[in-house]
Amino acid sequence: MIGADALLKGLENRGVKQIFAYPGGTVLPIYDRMPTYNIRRILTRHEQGSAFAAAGFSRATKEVGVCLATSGPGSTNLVTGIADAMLDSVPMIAITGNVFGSLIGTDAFQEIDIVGVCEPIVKHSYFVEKADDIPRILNEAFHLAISGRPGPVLIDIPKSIQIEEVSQKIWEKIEKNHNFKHELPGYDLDKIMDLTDLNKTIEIIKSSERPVVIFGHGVILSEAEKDLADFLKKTKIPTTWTLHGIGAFPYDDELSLGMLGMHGTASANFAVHNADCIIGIGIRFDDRITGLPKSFESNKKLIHLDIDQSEFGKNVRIDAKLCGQIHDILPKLTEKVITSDLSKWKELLDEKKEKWPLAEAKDGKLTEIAVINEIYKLIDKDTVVAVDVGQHEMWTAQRFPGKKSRKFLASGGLGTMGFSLPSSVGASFSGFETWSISGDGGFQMNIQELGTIAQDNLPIKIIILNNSFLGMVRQWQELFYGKNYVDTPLKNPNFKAVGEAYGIPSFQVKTRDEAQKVLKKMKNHKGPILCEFIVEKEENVFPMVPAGVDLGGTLLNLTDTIDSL
Amino acid sequence: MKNHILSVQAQNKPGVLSKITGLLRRKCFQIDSLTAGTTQNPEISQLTIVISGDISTAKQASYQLEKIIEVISSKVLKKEESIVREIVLARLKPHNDAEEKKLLVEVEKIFHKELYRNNNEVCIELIDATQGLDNFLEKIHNANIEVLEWVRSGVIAIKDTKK
Repeated sequence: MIGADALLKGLENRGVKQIFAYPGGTVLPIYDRMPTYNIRRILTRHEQGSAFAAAGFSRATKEVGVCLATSGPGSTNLVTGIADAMLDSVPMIAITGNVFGSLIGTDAFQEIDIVGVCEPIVKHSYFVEKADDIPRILNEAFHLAISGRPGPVLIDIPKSIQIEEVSQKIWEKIEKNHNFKHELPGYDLDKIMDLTDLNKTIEIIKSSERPVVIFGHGVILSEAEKDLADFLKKTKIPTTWTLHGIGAFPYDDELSLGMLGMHGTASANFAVHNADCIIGIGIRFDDRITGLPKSFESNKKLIHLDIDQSEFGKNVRIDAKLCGQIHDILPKLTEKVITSDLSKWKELLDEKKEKWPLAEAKDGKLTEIAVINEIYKLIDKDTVVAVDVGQHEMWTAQRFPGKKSRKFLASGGLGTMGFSLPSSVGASFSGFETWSISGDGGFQMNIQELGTIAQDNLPIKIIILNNSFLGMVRQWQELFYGKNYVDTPLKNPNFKAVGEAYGIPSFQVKTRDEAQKVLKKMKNHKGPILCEFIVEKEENVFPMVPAGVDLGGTLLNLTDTIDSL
Repeated sequence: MKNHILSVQAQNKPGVLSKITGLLRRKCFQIDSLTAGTTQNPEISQLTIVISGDISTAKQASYQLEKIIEVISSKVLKKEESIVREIVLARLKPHNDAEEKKLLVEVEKIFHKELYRNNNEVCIELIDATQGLDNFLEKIHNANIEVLEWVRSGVIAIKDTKK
């Protein structure tokens, strides 16, 4: 048995059912052995698709997606997907082949120092030096990827190691699914928890009159949805959420204000801007939610709960911090927390919620909001929606009606166009109904994955909202660059014809009536199905916080901002 | 500019130093000095990194470094609770005997070290905390002694259990 067997048997032992992969010279020994193991291969059409599919699977499940690529360009094509997973704390294993050990460092054909390339964008990486190390490395890699603050782990395996004999002793252990011991002295999750500021936190909350909770991805990663609900129900503190918090708490709860930030709801931004206490739970206070950090920090106390101590004070000043898994630390806070009477604050926010509802679809016209609303009427509680990046992403995020975690998938941190289609490939392996929603720009960034979807007959409902523009960039050009639309108008292919060329049933829709009919057809269809919607060209996403402005300057439309307190 | 000393223990593995310096670079921390060496445990390396900036900057750097999987521990040392040392090796060229004699006395007085003479130059070895070395080098500069070359080791530090 050789290194390739150690790798594949190890993956099988960990319950990996499928890997998203693309063959090439330096992974041939692995491909040669693959049919021997009970792992399904999903042949993407570009390695970037493999990386996004693996992470899409991780996002939609609680498992670790695995992708595989050959050396050189195969590995560099993974980079955007790995970076995307890193910025969104998504667990993922990326396996790359590399040239023969004897050729490493010689600039051999298709040799790239992918460990070096990926250093800033992985949680950890391995360059495998012995076939016998593979089982321990796999064990560590899976542990690192999913535990603590999750992230991608890279395993780079020279071809010579893939064909190196595994010692009899090690192979016997692999066959028995032996638990190979970690050698990670610098990774001790037991040391993380820090509740030193618990009393201080309780004091701050007790004395605050206008508190707001902002929760995010950390709640979902820590599976702390119930702990969050318990905290909110006990304290009656109004709550908003980040893009990656979507679904962790019911959007229609009386305490819910909707998503906050650059395109958050007006009431959420109003609440955060005017709060005297912010309780950030599993978030990182990134620039898309804070607006101007100096203004965000002023006149309020900031409490931060997170598993990553480097996040405390990184972006904004913190007055009290609790460190650990949210599901460990939040119940400790819930147990002792006391709030003052918040009814006046709640009344004010209810009034704002009513005053500033999200925009409705314009009468009669086929707009993106109209299509999104129709889709959202059709989805079930378990449906996964993978969106791309840009205007439609914000419209879908603002309105997402799901009440479960891991149902709304988006590229939050990296903001990668081309995210939706390959992510939906991975997400479809969750077994839940999967919709992919892209704009015409982003769709073309990974359009080749239609080939993957067609070949494996993946049941994905593919939506293209075609406004013939790079819509979000166009919106910025309209608002801040005098409508100087440089390189944002697109001359697009006939997407219906493209879908059909791949053998996928495809439609093109131009009216609302047709939209309803086709979407129903898509809902009931079993295999892949695609529809392009020709939508209004120059719609803008509101609310909007322009760059360099604080949340108090949230624009409701082109001219009006939200009220001050 | 204020600075702080980070004491970092890491697994003695290939690429760790590059990970540490790469992280400090991309997060825009300014390194004043960095030393790396072995410890009593051959599997563990010790790095002492002096970072420019206030205490919150130093702590943030330390927390970021702790995220590197091979980093076993990283902490900001309190200077008042630490023994801090740095070495300077310098080649100097006094212009006359009186200058050289004065220098010799100073070095002996402050550093308990002798001067080594080679041809027309004097080589000195100074060990002290950073500030002491800075002061002495300035003194040399002011005394108009020609400096042919000097090199500094960067800081090493250890907890002072007496304090």
